Amino acid sequence: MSNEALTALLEEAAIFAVIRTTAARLDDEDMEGWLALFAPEARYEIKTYGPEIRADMSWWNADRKELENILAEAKLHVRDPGKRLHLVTPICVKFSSDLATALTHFTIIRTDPDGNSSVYVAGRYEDSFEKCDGSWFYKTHTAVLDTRKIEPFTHLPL
Amino acid sequence: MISGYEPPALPKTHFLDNRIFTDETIFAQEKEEIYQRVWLFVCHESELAAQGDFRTVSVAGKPLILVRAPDGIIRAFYNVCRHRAAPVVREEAGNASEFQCFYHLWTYGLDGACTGITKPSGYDAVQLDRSKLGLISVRCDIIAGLVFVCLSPETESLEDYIGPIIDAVHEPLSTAPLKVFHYNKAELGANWKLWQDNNSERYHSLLHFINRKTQPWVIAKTSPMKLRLFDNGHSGYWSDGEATVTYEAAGYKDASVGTLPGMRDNEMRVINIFPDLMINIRANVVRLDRMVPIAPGKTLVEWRGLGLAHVPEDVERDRLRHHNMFWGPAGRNLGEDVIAVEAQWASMATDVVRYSILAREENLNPTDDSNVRAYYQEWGRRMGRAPHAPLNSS
Repeated sequence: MSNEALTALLEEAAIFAVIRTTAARLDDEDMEGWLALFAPEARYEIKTYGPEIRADMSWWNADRKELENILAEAKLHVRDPGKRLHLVTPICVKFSSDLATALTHFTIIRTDPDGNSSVYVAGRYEDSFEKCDGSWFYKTHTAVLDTRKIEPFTHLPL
Repeated sequence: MISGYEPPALPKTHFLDNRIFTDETIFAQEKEEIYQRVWLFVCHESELAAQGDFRTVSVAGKPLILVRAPDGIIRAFYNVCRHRAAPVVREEAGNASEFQCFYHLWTYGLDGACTGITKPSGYDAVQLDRSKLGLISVRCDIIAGLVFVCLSPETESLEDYIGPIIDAVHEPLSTAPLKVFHYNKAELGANWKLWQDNNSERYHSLLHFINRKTQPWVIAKTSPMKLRLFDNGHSGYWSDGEATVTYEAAGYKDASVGTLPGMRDNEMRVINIFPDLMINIRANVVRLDRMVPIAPGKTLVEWRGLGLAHVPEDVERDRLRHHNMFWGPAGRNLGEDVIAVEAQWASMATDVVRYSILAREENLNPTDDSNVRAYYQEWGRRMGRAPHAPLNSS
């Protein structure tokens, strides 16, 4: 294998590691750890298409500072007591200099306090990354949902 | 020993029998006596902006099509083919020049007229009259840009049904083009009336961490906002002058940019139209809640965000962000409300505590129960049942 090919594989693995870490930190409700995966100017968004109004819909769009403020108060809200498990399947990564884009399929399984598990959300992460000091961070982290009825609603990122 | 079945020592208007939220018979009767008889909000007119734009909805268990016809008028029809009763339209929304039933391909014009029958010669022997086989129409009318339908031909006009309460929101809703910029829906594990309660009584604001910061009047003795009661069970609350919400306390900047006509900065007006529509206007956004009762403990709720159609891109972006931070499915308030009413209904269904208390009298401050009492008096009038004793035969 050439050095270039090896480097590409390592970079791809590094991106996939960020995506897997994202899932694990959300499952653990480690919001500080989740935010640490974002570049300083990064944005997070939840989107879906609404056939009812025939338009794309954005349900959460915030920069890192806003996320910090909101998530710091998340514990003060009356929240869904369910436990979440993110299942992520990275599909592809494309590189361009110190930037990368990635597509990941994801499913969130929710387990309620009685121990019943069900699919909570299905969708795709459409992400862009930037490299900083040798590590990859989210530039934009976008959850594009197939699910349009989120039940119960969420005070946490998906 | 304390019993949960002992009626509270209160006037009969000041408490409810919780079985109005859980009883199957009452739920079935509500569909006939309320949902099939009153005007019900179905969508905003901007959702049907162009000729041929259509939207399908369910009302009282009946499937409807709403469509803007070539004459510009929005009409409503039952979404059922006259041939063999298949659904004519299967999409949530779209644009069409005609409707064709997917099953046997009968076609209908946007005015509902039957325009085509497959292999018509097959009916020559019985002289089938196509002109009498159009889609069945339903009453449809618009007030302040809000599209309503009514399944009953006997009910009064929409204008008479809604009455003067609409004056409170006419200017923000009617003087500039608006558009729906947000939509989501969910099936709540709760009775539909509990969601309207949640939209009507203000003391549950204390549930919300954010409202404890942004609405100090909730815990104060008086408020610049006052309850307003109207005929037919409609009610609202708004102030006559002072701003009522300190959005900045929640960390929102420029929350009033793009303010709707007639609204003051940081103002909030809420009107609740019997039985199931809430119009909640903050300075630059309108939230519209619509309900589709499915079972005593199951309700589809649709949430719309409405705002000025033509605003600069940065204003549109900020408005959307502010709206969703409060009222989106990942918002800070709406999820708390849903958790509350679902838990409340599940607890009511155990029938341990049979009565709900609606006894606050606070000179029409928003935390007064007058509006909720008036709502249930209207419910009782239409149902022929006393809300405090709905299953009594006498």
